[in-house]
Amino acid sequence: MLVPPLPPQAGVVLVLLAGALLSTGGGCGGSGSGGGSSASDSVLIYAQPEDPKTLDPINTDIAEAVHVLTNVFDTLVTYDDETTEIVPALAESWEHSEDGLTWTFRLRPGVTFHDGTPLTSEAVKVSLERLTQEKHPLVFDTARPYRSAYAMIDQIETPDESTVVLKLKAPSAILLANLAMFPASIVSPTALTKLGEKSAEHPVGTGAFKFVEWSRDEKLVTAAFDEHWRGRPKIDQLIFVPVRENATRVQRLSRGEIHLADSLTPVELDSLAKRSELAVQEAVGMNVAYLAMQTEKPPLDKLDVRRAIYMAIDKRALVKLGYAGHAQPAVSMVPPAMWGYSDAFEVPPYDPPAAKALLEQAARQHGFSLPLKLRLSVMNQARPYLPQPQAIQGYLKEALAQIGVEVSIDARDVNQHFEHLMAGRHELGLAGWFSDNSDPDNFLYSLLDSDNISEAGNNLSRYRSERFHELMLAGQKELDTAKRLELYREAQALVAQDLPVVPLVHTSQRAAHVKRLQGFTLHPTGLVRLHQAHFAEAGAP
Amino acid sequence: MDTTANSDADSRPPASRSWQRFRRSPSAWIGGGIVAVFVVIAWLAPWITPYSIRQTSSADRIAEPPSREHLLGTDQLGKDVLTRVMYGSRLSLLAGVISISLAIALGTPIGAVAGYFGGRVDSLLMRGIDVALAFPSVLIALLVAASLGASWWAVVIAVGLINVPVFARQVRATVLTVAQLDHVLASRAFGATWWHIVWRQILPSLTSPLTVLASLSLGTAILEVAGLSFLGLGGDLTVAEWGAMLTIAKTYWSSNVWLALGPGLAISLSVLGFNLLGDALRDALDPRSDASLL
Repeated sequence: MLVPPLPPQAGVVLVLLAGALLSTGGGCGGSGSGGGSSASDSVLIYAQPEDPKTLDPINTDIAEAVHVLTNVFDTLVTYDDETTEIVPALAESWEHSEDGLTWTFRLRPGVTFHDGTPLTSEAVKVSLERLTQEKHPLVFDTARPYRSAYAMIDQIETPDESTVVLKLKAPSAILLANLAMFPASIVSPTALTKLGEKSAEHPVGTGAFKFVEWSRDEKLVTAAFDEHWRGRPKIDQLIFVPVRENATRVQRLSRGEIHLADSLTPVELDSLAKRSELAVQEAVGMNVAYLAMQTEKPPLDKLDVRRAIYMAIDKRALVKLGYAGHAQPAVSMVPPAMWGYSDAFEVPPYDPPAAKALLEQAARQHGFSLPLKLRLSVMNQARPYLPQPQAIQGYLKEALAQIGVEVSIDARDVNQHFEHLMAGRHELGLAGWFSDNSDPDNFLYSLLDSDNISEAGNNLSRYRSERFHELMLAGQKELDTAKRLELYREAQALVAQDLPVVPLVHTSQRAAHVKRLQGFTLHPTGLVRLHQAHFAEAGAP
Repeated sequence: MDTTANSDADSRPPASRSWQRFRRSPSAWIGGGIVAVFVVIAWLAPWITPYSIRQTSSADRIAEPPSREHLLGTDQLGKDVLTRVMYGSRLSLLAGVISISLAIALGTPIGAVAGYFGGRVDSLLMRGIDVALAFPSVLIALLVAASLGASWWAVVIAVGLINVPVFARQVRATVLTVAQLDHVLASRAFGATWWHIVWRQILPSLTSPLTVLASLSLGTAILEVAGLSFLGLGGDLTVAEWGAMLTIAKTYWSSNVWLALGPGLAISLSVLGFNLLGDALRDALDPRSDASLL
């Protein structure tokens, strides 16, 4: 069955929701939280700045889609609810051979997909082979931005229904962390075969919430999955709505029409935190906001030019201007909260006069004229790591003007923005990254390795360094943590030398929700898991 | 003759009578005054703004309400809003003038040809204009922005195109009337070429209706430019442009309403100024308004 039947209350809820939507549209500001508390208690509405583009786990890296995927799908292993420790999920247990080349996973018995298909080793094989194989009959869009993260898997064997054996090309320290990431979500093979290309709009997994319907740019409805292996979620429905305007998200949150919102500006969050009916959560974030410099485009291919740009930017000012202090200046792409972080290297100082001199010298040497005209590609919507893109782009434009770089702004909606950057069509690009797993490989390899230069690769600076690539590959194979740390230290120092990017800041994660919402905590990796979320009894503040 | 029996006003040439009517109109003074102030501000912006447009951002003053140092408060980068609004008048006036010039440049030939030749040419051109008028202006603007990419120029061109039909119609109507006047018919009888007639006899008579229409449309054009760049079609939100400033103000709506005050007031005032001026010009230049004075 393609569309599972709606739970009995769903009809009422949808009518209420439609009413709420209409009242916002009309601007008459009706209170959504007033009426029908019993019905609204079973529905959680999560407002995101954008609608996902696709719900195929292998084909996205946009946070809005990931937030949906982590609730609809499960992975073999996952993170503890509060820490980044890897715990069993669909795999109940696992072990690896002495040489680290063979990993055996035992699947949890009795798990079914939303469409009734039982979870078997074959389903795991199909899901992972969609990532590992160059051509796979069930891959409908070959972009697959995360493919390289699974390149260590050589073969997937299924000795019996509940055992999966991964044969690796080389020992891998990042296998488990990468299997916990959303691209490795286990997808129902029946649904893939049956729906074909349409499966990107109709995800069928084993997650706590099953997909119900999606009217693009309007709402994405999921409902509690009764047979989930962790037990049925506490709420009946989880609805994702795209609300592009920050101000609208704030208004709707304070009217109780939506229950959870992220990517709000720090100033807004500070003022929301004072409201009695709302709560603002803050947690250390594993993220980085950075400026990608397209190193293939002259004169950005010259180290001196990139160095001058680096020296023109005052990260401390950015923390105040763009984050109201809820961030810290970045020296490395790896966030300090993450294992593997290093700052044991020199970075160019903030020194505009020296930057200007350096740029002038580079201009003479390489024969380009000043002011140097560069395009800065930016996104229109706020990102968790860039809550106020306009303030940041305004600051960057001004900071670079001081050293003789004339910046023109090239703004796009976030999905197109990242397509533009991945294809390398930008000169300077504002970007950021949220950890998908708790491994530095996820930042360094994903964002800077030459393996990830393609039309849909995340090496936005198109940075090519042989030594860096060697270090990355060695780091993936090295099982000794102390030795891995050394490799990543060197890699981070190398980035600080070659400067393909300007790491700007690491932001605290913040989200606002109605106070009645409980059982939701920000996860260090930025994952939003709503299995435990529920509303407090009416009457509680 | 009985001219001597008439009032002084009637004995003077029409231009002088128009000028007198214009001077007596309060809306001419108010509208002209507002427009003059904006023109002066735009012209002298680099010398008269309280702070430099290149003022550096300051993290200590983000989005502050109005104060003695910053009469309209500070923006998201801690810059003086008044300074940016004053600079914004440059872009806005320029955008208005360029787009209306574009509309005149395209609309006048279309209207003149349609009005002078009449018949099939007229129907063809005017039906085209009708179709263009039937499109919502925002749609045209979106098409232009989509083909040129979001930028200030895209917005200006879009606003110009939106206004072409308005000018084409006005010109056609005037040409239709003027082409039937005795002196034009006489030239035609003497064998003047159509080019000579249009260029030397018809176009000069377009000056006053076009002046009125241009001045009325300038206000609308400024509003449209601000509106389109508010919608993000202007591309760069960091420039000191009224519409772009409003877009950013919207983000801060919940925490600081003051940010919208400066650009919002500037747009309202400039549009009011051009509308009042246009009204006064129309009253002064329209021969029919003679009757109302008598």
